[in-house]
Amino acid sequence: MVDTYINLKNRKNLKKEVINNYIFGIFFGFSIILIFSFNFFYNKFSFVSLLYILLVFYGIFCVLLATINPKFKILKKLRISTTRVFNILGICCLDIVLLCIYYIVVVPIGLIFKEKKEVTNSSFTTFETSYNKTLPKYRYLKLLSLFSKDYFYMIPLLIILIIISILVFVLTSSIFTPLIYTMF
Amino acid sequence: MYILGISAYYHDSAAALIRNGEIIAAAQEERFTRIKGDKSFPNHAISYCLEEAKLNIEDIDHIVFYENNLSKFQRIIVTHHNNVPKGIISFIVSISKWLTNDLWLDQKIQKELGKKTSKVIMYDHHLSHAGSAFYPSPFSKAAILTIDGVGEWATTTYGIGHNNKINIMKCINFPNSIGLLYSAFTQYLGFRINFDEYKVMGLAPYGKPKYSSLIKKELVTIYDDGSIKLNLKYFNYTRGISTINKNFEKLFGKKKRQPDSKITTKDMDIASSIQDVLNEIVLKLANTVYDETKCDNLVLAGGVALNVVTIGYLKRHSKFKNIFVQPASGDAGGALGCALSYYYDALDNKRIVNKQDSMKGSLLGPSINDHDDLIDEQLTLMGAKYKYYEEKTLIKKIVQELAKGKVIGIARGKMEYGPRALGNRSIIADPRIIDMQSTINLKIKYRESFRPFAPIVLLEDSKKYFDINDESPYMLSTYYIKKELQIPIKKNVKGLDLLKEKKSPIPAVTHVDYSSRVQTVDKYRNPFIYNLLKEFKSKTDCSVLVNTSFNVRGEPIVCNEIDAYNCFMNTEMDCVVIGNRFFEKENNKKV
Repeated sequence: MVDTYINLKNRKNLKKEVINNYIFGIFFGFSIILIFSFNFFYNKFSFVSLLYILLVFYGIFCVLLATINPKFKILKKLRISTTRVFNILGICCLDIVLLCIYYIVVVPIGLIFKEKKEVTNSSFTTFETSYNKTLPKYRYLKLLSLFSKDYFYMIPLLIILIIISILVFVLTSSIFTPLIYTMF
Repeated sequence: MYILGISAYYHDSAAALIRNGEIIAAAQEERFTRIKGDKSFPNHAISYCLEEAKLNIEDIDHIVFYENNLSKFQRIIVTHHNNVPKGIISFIVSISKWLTNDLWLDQKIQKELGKKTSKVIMYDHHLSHAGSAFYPSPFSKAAILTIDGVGEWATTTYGIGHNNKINIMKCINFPNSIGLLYSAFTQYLGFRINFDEYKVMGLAPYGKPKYSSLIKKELVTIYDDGSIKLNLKYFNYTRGISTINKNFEKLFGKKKRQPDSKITTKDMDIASSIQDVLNEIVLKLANTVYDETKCDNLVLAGGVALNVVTIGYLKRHSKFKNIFVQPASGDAGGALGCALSYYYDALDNKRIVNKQDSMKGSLLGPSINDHDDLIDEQLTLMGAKYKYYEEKTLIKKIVQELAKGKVIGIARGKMEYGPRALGNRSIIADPRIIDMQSTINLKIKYRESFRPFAPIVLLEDSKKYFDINDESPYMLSTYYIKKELQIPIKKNVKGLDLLKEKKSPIPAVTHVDYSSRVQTVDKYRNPFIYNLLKEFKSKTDCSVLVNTSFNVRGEPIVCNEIDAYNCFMNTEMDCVVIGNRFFEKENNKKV
């Protein structure tokens, strides 16, 4: 019997999940063991030191689970919740960056180049399809060429957003997300 | 050549598969996941399409998505610039979503489908709608009109289709949107945007269009050519999260209605007014399209094309002789439209026109077989008790029960693509019983009592009951009950009390303004329902039945035998037909 697309996909996802659990347990576990044991020995003993100890134990727990069996449900739950926490932190940072961009870049450009309202007797315009074979192949070049015609003044903002989007994409789409955030 | 069309991530995800221009399968994701209007990636729908054609994802030649994310991103950036310094919250919410997700849509889709698949083609939203309406239509040449909330930039487009080519000539761009204007009223009247617009439409006949002139004076300028300009002072969708603002509420002198609160006469009048304004706009638009294209045929798609009252109005008043509306006109239909447009328009393949239309009765979803051991096993496990009948006997049995005033669910054959249940996932009943509408609404569908039901009628008998000059196989237009069948309503009866009045010999399917959302049934598209109607006619001399979708409020239409049986058990439905199995409530009591 031929396997259905959805069954194949579910099986693939299960495999991927086990690999992700393993990577999370080993790399994330080891990195927080290293970072927080260093912090523990480097700083004077205080209430924060207790937190460091807890985090080191959390790291040891993750490494142990990943080594014994990465299929453990608890490891999956830890991975998902840790990633979620770091994603929330990431989104908060992103929102602050966007807030700054709005007032530093968008508002001045918007006020200077605001489109004027013309009085007409029709709101019809010529249709321009967004499906255009002649546009450049790569996403960002495509975006730049879309703006270059009528909205050239938005290109600086676009470049800033593109850089952020690359950073965000790398950070949020990878299993190493918690690891990268932990480093900071 | 196989092309897979996908629509997703906004609302009503769907997938459609075509082979050399022929529609093989199409389905909405909500039917499988049981989440109404599900916007997640349509994995189940894709899986069904591939199974139907016995293919693997690697066998697909092209994968087409129904809109272009980069153009949409451009519109969002430009809109934020035009609205400074207001709109900071909207900027953060939307840009943050775009930077983390939507900008990478093609890659995300590719990842969902598996790495070995070819590149995803991002098509144009309104070209997808146009393709969904024109290519399956029975016309080799037709004017095309698409109207919805918003795609990339366009909110309304018109053009002409000839053989395998579509030429979109003009458009109305965001923020001027007919769809969003109607949605604003949907929100104001306490319903959900993008889901409940049909409720506003159903409420409209109870009221009077008292506010039409106010809407035209303050909210929208309607130009002679049907194009519009919205007064953004009253709307919030360009700089906020909701569609309307406080000025909108002030204009009508009351706050927006809370969901499930009592519907007042004023609410009915407002619904009636916006419906009236919509009819006027769309008629003007259609006449402009006729003058520009000089074509007698019109095809329509986009969410607004699902407004059956407006389509009925167009059929009666526009200059067009023939009108075809895509049965899945909303975003779900975009999946089919982008696949067809790419095959014909972009790849320049020859088109063969089917005189009936190429939608195959819109029966493009998964099938419930008449006899299937696996289904029997599942039903037995659920404790179901039923009897098998041969088709002819089954029809007789159903008619016998209908004549007793019983309400019967039908789940057999292929599932419908689009929002309408056309007889394969339907609840049917005798329309001559005066309280049938409230019985089905309150005991089975658990929905608002004001909402009307649609009739299914034998094509050859449709003229006996309705003022109808064409066929209506997809239930996409309203028609009036014939003058001689209309029973005058007492003058002092108003509002929801109108429901209790007998308005015609088929009161359960006659709305308070004597209109009906008719589905004509012929023996080619749905032979089972056709024979059922014939049998009902021979027993009762009435060739009309009530037809409403097989679901309860807030749930999608049932997909398979399990959904159908669960729905039957959880409501006060009397009987259900699943394949050729007949279930009665007396034998299937909840333990």
